[in-house]
Amino acid sequence: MEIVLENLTKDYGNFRSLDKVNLKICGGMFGLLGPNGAGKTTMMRILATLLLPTDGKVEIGGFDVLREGASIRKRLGYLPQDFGFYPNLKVFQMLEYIAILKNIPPNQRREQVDNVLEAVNLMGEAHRRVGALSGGMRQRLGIAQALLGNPDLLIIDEPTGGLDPEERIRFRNLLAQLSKQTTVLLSTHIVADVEFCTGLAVLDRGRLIFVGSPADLAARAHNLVWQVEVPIEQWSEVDRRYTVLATQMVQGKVQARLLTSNPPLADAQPIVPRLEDGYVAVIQNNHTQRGVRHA
Amino acid sequence: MPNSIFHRLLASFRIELRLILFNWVYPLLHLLWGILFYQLFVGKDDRSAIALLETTVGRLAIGLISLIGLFLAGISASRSKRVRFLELEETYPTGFEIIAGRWTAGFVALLLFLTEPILIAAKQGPLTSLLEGLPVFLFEAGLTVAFVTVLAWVVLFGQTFDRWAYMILAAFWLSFLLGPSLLVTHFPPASLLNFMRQGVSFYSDVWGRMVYGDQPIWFNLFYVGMLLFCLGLLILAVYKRRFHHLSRPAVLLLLGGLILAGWGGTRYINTVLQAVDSQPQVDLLSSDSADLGVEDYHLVLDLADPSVPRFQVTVEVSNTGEQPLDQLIFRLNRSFSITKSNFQTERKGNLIFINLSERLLPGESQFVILSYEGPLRVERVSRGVVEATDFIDSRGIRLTPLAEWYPIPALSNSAFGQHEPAHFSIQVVNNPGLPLAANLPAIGENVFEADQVTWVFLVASPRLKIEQIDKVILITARSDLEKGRELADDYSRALRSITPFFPDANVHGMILMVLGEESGLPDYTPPVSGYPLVVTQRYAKRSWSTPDTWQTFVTRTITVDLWQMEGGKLDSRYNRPLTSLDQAFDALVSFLSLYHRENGNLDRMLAGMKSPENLSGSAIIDENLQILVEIYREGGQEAIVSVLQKMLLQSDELQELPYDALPIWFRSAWTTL
Repeated sequence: MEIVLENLTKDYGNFRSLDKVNLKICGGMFGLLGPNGAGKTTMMRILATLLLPTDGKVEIGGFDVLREGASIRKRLGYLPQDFGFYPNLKVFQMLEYIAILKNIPPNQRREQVDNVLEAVNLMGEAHRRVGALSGGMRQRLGIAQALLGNPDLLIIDEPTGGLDPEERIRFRNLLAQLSKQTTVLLSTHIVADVEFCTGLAVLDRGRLIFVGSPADLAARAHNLVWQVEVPIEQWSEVDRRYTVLATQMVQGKVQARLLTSNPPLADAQPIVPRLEDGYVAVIQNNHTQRGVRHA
Repeated sequence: MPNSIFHRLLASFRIELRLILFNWVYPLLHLLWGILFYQLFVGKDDRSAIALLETTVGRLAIGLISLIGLFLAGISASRSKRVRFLELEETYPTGFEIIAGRWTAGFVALLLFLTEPILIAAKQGPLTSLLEGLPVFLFEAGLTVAFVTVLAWVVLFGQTFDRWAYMILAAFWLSFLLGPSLLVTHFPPASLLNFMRQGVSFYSDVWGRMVYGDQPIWFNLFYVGMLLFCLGLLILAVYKRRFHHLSRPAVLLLLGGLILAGWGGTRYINTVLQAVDSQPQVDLLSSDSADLGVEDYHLVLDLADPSVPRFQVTVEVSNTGEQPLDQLIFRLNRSFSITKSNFQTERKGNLIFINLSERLLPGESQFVILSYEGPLRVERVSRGVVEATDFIDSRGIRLTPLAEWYPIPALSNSAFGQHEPAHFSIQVVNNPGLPLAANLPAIGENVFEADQVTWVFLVASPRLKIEQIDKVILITARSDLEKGRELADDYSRALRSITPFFPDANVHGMILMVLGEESGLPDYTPPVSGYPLVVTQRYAKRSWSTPDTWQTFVTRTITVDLWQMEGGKLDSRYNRPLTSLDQAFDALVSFLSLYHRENGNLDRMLAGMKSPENLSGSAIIDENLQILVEIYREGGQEAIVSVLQKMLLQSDELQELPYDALPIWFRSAWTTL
């Protein structure tokens, strides 16, 4: 399902949350990365027909989000960042209710509910009250409701926060599998969540600063990532001067990955950048450019 | 598509209903609700089922359900947001049907609170009364609940709903509970704001809502309009939020609701304002007809067109003074226009001046013949609610003396609507099938006639029941029939016991009107010749603490009428003689009550005289009673009749007599006869 954003702008009073965003998503699994407050959730909510843009145009599968929201909702599965259910209903009752709201034909309802419960590993909890579920289980129920109705577009906003590592992997695999038939739009600030995406965009302070594949994003840090080993007493000086991507203690020394265009230390080793290195490079580059512009 | 919308509506309805009903607060509320109604009404309000639903039970239920409705609607409207389901819910391909389903569920849950009031009304019975009242009650309670809940939805939809909002809802409810009551003193139509219908506490089992005319229709129409208007607003709000455009059906609904509300509201306000403007005006007399006596009335009421009733009356008048009369002045309701007369007439408000062609000399009499017609509906405004006291229409008739519906000599010092005792006959022709009754005995179909008539009360209603029970003519509402029969039985037995003591009263029977309200009737409802008259309510018996006090009341009521029928005078303020005559009368009532209670058995009467009931009065009364019982022991019923005759003959002497001389007077009254 194709998603087209043209000059998408959203203002909250004087605050501009999205600033003339242009993006085209052609299907598959697409990740939207960005720091907190970048405008990811605003964009997700606009795509999920919950918010109206201030300006610009958004089309999903050829439907205009402003005028044809109802047509989009028929094809949409959405999992917001913050959600809940009726705590007094049982898991299967809640899903059956949602299945009715999603217009799933009566003869397919039970089967679909069972399928999504199976998919999110909640079959054993089907007869538990929603209010009695743990945070992780509730998150999985959220995913289950989004999957109901086999939507053409899945919009998932910060989905893995409440999941344990095993569930997180299971969820990623599920999304990867779903993305073969469904467009999956995944918004997150956890870079590892988007490693399986076919496309990526990075949003920062309301602006789109990168669009490409995960490999492209990682490549943005090519020749910029260095590994150094620093005695612990010198670490604070290194930390002050360079962007630190990761650290670990190795034989009493701090082994660190640094982001910089030149070798930071004489014994610094250039290394192959990871996805998150590319992400940090893009964000930092954007901040630098903004700083120059403002100066 | 409509099928799937219906399925979603149904699913939303079922889920919401389940969430409401299975919450522990709901059954607890029902339990408290049931206890409240049981405590307040069971065995304490003896009105019929329909009257309970129309007044106390029904009004309390509607008022309180409105409050619960506001809270419940608040809970329903905020539920999805409260549990953070809203964000999900609004991405589903749904429309107004989800809100409609939830609202309907709340509405149904609230309607279940009508069960307790209906059960109490059912317990009260009779079943016919319940069945008659139920549809209107359900409709009006439903309309109120629907309006209140949809209003709450409109206010709360899409809003951040914190706990303090419940306080605002409670304040809203309280302001509409008290506000209209305060406003109606300055602007009576403000009663329209009383959506909880707390303004009306009066209900007539005989005439039902006839008393209120079209007022309830306009009131309901206004709130049907408001309901549609609010529904339209809610749909618009949903469409604006979900689809970002206007819904044409919602706009039509909104406009339609506005038109209906405007129409109903305007008509309601006009109705009240007209009633306020038409409050009875009294035209003062510069001179009155003090010397004008009436001997005979012959009245024909033609109901061929009940909206414009036609009257023809022949009045025999006499000059009771010492000066010749050349003009007669009568009072007649200003709604009537005189169409024909055998004398020249002039009209000034509710006064008619009849200019005689020849002077009426002292002691002479003359026939005045008048034809008049016009619609009659006398209304008063009570707490912003219009209530008719007198009316004639195809659905019923209520004519009290206060309406001045037949010509009455205009005397500046007489009680309105009453006249000197006269022979009176009234015939109703072209009756559209309404059962008719009056405080006069019927001598044929739709014909009533009696002597010594000082006032006439004519009633008709499809709900009216007239039954002859022994000598008692019972006139009551269908729903009060059982209670009326019980009262008729008590009065009948008392009448049979007491009548022999009043041989000159010439009793042919008794008229017992169990009507439930007496507005517009003269104090103590004087009887006509041969027929003691009691106008009372179905719950009259319950208001007496013991059967004996009730029997004493019945005895007194009948005695008062029999006393008058024998020519005895009563003080108009207290409906009994004063001074020693008062004491003698009380003693007589006590004796007759004792006699009636003990079936004239002397031994039991002697024992009963010492009962706490009879000892509760003053010693003087006890002594008087004792003397009367002794006289009865010595001379039987005839002796008492003799004493009574002397009381009637020597009333003036008794008024001057010291209280302590009364026992001796009783003794002498018998022995000297």
